[in-house]
Amino acid sequence: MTTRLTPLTLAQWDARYEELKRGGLSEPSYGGRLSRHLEDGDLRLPKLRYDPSVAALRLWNFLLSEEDRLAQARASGRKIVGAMKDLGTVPVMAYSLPNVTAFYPDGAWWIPCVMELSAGVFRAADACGLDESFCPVRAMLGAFVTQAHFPIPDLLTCSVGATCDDFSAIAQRLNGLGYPILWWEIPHRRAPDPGEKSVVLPGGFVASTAQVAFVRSELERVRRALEELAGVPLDDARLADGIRMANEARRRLAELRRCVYHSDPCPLPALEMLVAEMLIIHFCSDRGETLSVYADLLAEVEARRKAGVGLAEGAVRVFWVNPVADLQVMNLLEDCGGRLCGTEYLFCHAVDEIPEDVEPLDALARAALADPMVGSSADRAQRICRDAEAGRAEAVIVSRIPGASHCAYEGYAIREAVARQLGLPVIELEVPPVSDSMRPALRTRIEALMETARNRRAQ
Amino acid sequence: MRTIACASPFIPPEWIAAHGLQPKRLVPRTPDRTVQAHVSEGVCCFAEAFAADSERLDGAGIVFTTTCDPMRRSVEMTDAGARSFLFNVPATWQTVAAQQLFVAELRRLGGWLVRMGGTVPDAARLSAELRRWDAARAQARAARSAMSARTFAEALVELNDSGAFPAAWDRSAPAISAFPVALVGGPLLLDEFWLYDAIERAGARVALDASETGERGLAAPFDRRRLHDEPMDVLADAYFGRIPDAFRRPNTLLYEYLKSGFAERGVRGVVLIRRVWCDLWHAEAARVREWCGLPCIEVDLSGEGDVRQRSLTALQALVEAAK
Repeated sequence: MTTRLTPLTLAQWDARYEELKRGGLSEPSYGGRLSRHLEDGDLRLPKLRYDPSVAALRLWNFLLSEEDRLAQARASGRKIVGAMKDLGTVPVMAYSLPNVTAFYPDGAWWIPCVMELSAGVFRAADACGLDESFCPVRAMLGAFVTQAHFPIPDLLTCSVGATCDDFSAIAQRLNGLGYPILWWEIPHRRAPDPGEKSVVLPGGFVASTAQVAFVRSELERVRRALEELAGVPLDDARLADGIRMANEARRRLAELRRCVYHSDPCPLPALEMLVAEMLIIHFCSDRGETLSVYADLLAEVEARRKAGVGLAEGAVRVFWVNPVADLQVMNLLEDCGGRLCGTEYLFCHAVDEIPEDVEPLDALARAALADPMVGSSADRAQRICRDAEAGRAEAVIVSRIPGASHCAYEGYAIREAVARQLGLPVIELEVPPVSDSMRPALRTRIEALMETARNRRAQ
Repeated sequence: MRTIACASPFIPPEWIAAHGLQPKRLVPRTPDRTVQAHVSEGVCCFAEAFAADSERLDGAGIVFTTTCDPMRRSVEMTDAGARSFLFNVPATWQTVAAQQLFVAELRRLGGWLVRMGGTVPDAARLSAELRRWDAARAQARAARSAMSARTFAEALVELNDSGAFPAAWDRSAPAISAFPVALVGGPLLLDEFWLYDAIERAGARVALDASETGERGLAAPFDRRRLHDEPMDVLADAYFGRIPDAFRRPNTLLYEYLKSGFAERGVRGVVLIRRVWCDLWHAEAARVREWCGLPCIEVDLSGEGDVRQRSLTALQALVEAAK
C-alpha cells in the first residue's frame, strides 16, 4: 500500500511552515520561510514545486542562503577560494585547511533562472562580448562584473585543457578584466598506449600513470597556492582528513541516490535530488552542514520507503544526462509521468569516492582525471549506460545546455551507445535558463518519450 | 609514403618528415552540403571540414589536437580508428611541466608515426629535417612583405606540405599606401581565401596576417646552437613556447604578438574572423576591440551562405571610416 507524495507550491509551503513552527520546528540558523528568499529577487521560486518534508526545507534554505554564507565568511576573515571548472577536486583541498571557504563561481549559471533574468548578469556578460551563443555559465562573468552575488574570492583557480571552450573562454575574459587566475592543466584522459602503465580511476575509467603523475604535479601547484593563501601548510595529514570528510559526504549522497533512484515509488522528487547532487561539488560553502543536510534527507527517504510514500507509482524510469539551466524542467519531468532513476550531471567524479589507500595528492589526481568531461564522449556514454542499466532505466533524456561546446558532439555518442547497448529510447532537449516559452514543446517531447517507454513495457 | 594530415600549427611537420612520412597541413574546404550531411547543430564547420577532408585522403593518418573542444571531440566523429591520433597540446604554457608534457606528446606521436609505417629518426636525419623546415620558414618570413597576403597564405599551404617555400609564385607586392589592417582569428578554410582579395578590393592591405593559417601559425626560428643536442627542446620552444593563440591560458602571448606586430607593421584597423560555434575567438573579439582601440570589423564565417558581399561592404566601411 503506497501513499502518493504531493509536492507543494511556494504558497502552500508557507502555510505548512506556519504549521511546523506551531509544532515546535527546530531549524539551523539559515532556516526560515522559503518565500522570504523572494525578497532577494529569487523570482523563480513561486513557479517551482517542492517536496513537503522538513529535510527538503532545510535543503532549499541551505542552497538559497549560500550568498549570505559567503558574505559572512568574508566578514569573519575567512579566506575565500573561487574554484572554477574542475567540479569536485579543488574544494576538497581547500576545505582541508582551517579558515578557508571554497565555492564554484560556475554556480552563478543558475542566477538567471532563479532570478528570472532580473539580475542583469547576462546583460553584463553581453557588454563584455559574451552573448547568448555562449553557455549560460556566462552569467558567472556577469556576477563578477556586477559584484552583487558573492564576494570576490581571494584566490581563483581554474582547470583548463580538456575542458569546454565556453568556460575556458569566459574564464579568460574574466582574467582579461583584471582577475588573476591560477590556471592548472587537466589533460585529455586518453586510453593508455600499448605497454603503458595504467591505473583504474574512481568510477572505472582507466588512465596512464603518466597522466596521473602530471595532474598530481598540477595539483601540487594548487596546493602551494592554497598554503600561501591560508598561511598554514596543507600537508598530507590535512589532505587525508579532507578526503575522508569529502568521502563521508560522497557516501551519504551515494546512499541517497541509491535509495531514491532504485526505489519504487520514488521517495524524493527530481528537483530536490538535483539540488542535493549539486551540493557535493563544493558543499554549498559549508562542508559540515552538507553532511547534516544529507543525513536529514536520508532519514526522510528511509522513512518514506518503509511507509511506501512516494511519487506516482509506475512512473517511467528516466536516466537524466546534464544539469538543466531551468530548475522547473525537473518538475515538468514528473508532470509528464516520469521520475529519475539515475543521473550524470557532468560530475560523476565528484560523487565517486576518492581513494584513501594512496598518497592524498595522487588520490585527488586520480579523482580529477576521472571527470567524465575530460575524456572521450564514448567513455562518458559507457558510464551512462552502466548507471542507466543499474537504475533499470526505461528512457534517457540528454539535456543540452544552450551554446555549450560539448553538447554538439556527445549527444550522438550517448544516443548511439544507449541504443546499441540498452535498446532504450533517447531524446535530446535544449533547456534555456527560463524555459517558459518553450514549455509546450518540452512537454510534448517528454510526454512522447514517456508514451514510447510505456508502450515498450507492454511489448 | 603515407600521408599524415593535421590542421594544427602546433604539430611540427618536420617531426613527421623525420619519421619518413609525408606531412600534410590540411587546409580543408567548406563541406559540400549536397554530399555531406551536417553532423549536428553546434558543430564548428572548420572541425567538421577537417575531419571530412582528412578521411578522404586515402589511408592517411590523421592528427587531431586538443586546442579546442570541436577538434578534441572530432576525433570520435571519424571512422579512422587506429589511423587517428589525438595530440594533447597543453593550454597552460608557463610551467616546465607543460613544456615537458608537450615534448612527451611529441614522443608519443613519434611512437604512433612508427606504427603508421614510419621509422625512428636518428640524430642526423632529425637535425637535417629541422634545419630544412626552419630555413623554409625563414625564407617565408623574408618574402612576406613582397607578397600579397593571399599569395603568402597559399605559399604557406605549400610550405607546410613540402617543407619548401615555393619560388614560382606571383610575388605582387600590395600598394604600401593601402590601408593597413591586421587579420586576426582562427583558421580560414581554403575556399575562404577570397577574404584576402576582398580586403584589397576594399582599398586595404593585410599588413599582419594573425590568422591561424597565416603567419601567426608559423613556428619561431629555431635555436640552431641546440639543434643537434636538444632537438626535442628546440621543437618545443619554437612551437609550444612561441606560437600565440586564443586557447592558451593565459593567452598573453597572443596580445604580446599582436602588440609588437601592430607596431612593427603600422596596423590601423582590425578584421576579426570568427565562426559561429567558435567560442574561443568569439570571446577574444570583444577583448581585441577594447585592447587595440582601432577600428574593427568582424567577419562571421559559418560555412553557410555567401557572406562575401556583406564582408566587402563592411571592409569598405572600415576603410572609409578610417580616412
